[in-house]
Amino acid sequence: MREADQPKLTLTNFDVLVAATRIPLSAEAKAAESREIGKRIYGLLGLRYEQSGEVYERLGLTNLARTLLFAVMTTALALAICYPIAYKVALATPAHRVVWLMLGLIIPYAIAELMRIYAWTTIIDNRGVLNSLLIWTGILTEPIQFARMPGTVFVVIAYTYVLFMVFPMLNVMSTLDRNQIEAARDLGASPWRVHRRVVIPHAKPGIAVGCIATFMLAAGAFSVPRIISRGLQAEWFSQTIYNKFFESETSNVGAAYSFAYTLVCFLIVGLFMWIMQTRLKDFARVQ
Amino acid sequence: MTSQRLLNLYTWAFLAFMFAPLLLMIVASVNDTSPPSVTEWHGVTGKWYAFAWMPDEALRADAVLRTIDRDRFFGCFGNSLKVASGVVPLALLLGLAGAVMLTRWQSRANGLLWWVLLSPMLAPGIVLGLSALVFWGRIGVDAGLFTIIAAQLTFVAGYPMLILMARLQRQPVELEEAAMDLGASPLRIFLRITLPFLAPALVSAGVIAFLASMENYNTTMFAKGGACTFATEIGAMARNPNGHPPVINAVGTVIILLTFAAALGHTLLRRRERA
Repeated sequence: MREADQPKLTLTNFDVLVAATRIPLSAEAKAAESREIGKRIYGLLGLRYEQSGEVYERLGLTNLARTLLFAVMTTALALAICYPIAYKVALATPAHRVVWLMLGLIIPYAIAELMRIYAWTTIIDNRGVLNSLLIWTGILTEPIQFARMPGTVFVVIAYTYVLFMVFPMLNVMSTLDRNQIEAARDLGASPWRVHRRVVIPHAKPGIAVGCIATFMLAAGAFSVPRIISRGLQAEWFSQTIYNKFFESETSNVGAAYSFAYTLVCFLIVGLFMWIMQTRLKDFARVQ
Repeated sequence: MTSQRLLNLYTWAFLAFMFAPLLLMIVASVNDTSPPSVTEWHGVTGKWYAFAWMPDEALRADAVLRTIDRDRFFGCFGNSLKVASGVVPLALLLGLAGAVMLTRWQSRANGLLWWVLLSPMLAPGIVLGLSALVFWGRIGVDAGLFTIIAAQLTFVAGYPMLILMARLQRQPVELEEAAMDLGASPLRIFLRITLPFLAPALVSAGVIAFLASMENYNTTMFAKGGACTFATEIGAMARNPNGHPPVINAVGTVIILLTFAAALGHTLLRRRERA
């Protein structure tokens, strides 16, 4: 077939995403890695396999899977941090004091996203506040390298996008009649039961919208992993896409990566909305 | 009551979590060392602030400040304002149109319309930037401030839309119907009834769109081409192996103080109005 006759559309750019790469490993390293729980899960998912003694890994897909998992964990962390605050502001504070709490929520948001992230570097550096404090009190002798821990990125993302989680929940919760909580308490419900049976069912659309917004922001996060990890951690998928586009001349592959990523994210959000029985209209209700 | 006390304790801890990084940033902005630190104290200095106005000779004499291109730094800040001045009015217009359409126009296509109008907010920010870059590149527009505006507009327009929609849903339809019965044209109804009703929401939507445009990094980074904005410029400093210069802390401190003053003023004013 002559070149001009060939079809112009091709899926080869997507092949790069699913392609397997041989991982050169010594026998000891292989044995050590095969015990790691993360590598085992990759094996179960078919993202890592052995062929005639050599280990292969689908690096594009493992990167994708890891980033999505990280985004989910970040969302869960943000939900855990924000739920009590949303409850506190919406339902457990006298109206005249709500103003101050709202100020506390809004002011950190007003400075640029990057500033919020830079502010954290002062804390988590090897000679930063946390390490200095821990060494000064004698708990540690060597600094913890927070920049190498994925958890640090989770915390900073949660911090950076706190408002997107708090406000949807807060707005829905504040429509709940406080008398319902009082009534439940009078009838002898424990605080835990009040939340499970009264507050959470009412706030469900807000919780769903907050989770979706945070998940999408975490999945698309580029600044936080880049600045916090300073290249000391595995790349997030957004960084991979950036590198495909701008650091190497493979923009077609980059486009395939970002299209696949968007599709997967939409699927996850759609599934989540189906499970939580959220409709898109809830996005307008909770603002 | 113990659970109440626990919640109060948690609230204080949360506020500490929110404000500690900002306080440290402010403290580090007057410390005479780079990268910014609060643990190694080298004495109080105002030079990270004076960077904005000090003469060129003094600038060249300082080992840290000399590495920053001041004209570029403020040029990029100006670019950010330019981008925001394009994004905010367009986002308000688009958001208003979308909000009116989704609340007033009932049809079977509504569900689809919801998806179309909200999907940019549900897509990863990096993808929005990339698609703007690729799309406008194909048409023949070089990446620059225009592609940044186009990319930011795709998701920023969603915020005004949601805010305006929430307010529109609370507007009694009877008012418009009464005006229509009295013979007012649709345009007149919109200008005399709907728009004044939306005014406060338009203001807050404008503020939010402005903040979102100014601070956006993830989308802008992909659409910027050779141009720069304030966010991408301070982001580029992260690549500095010695860490970012405390000038960033100084700028952040100024923004925090301005915001604090504005928020406090707004709150006190509203309180006086109510009292």
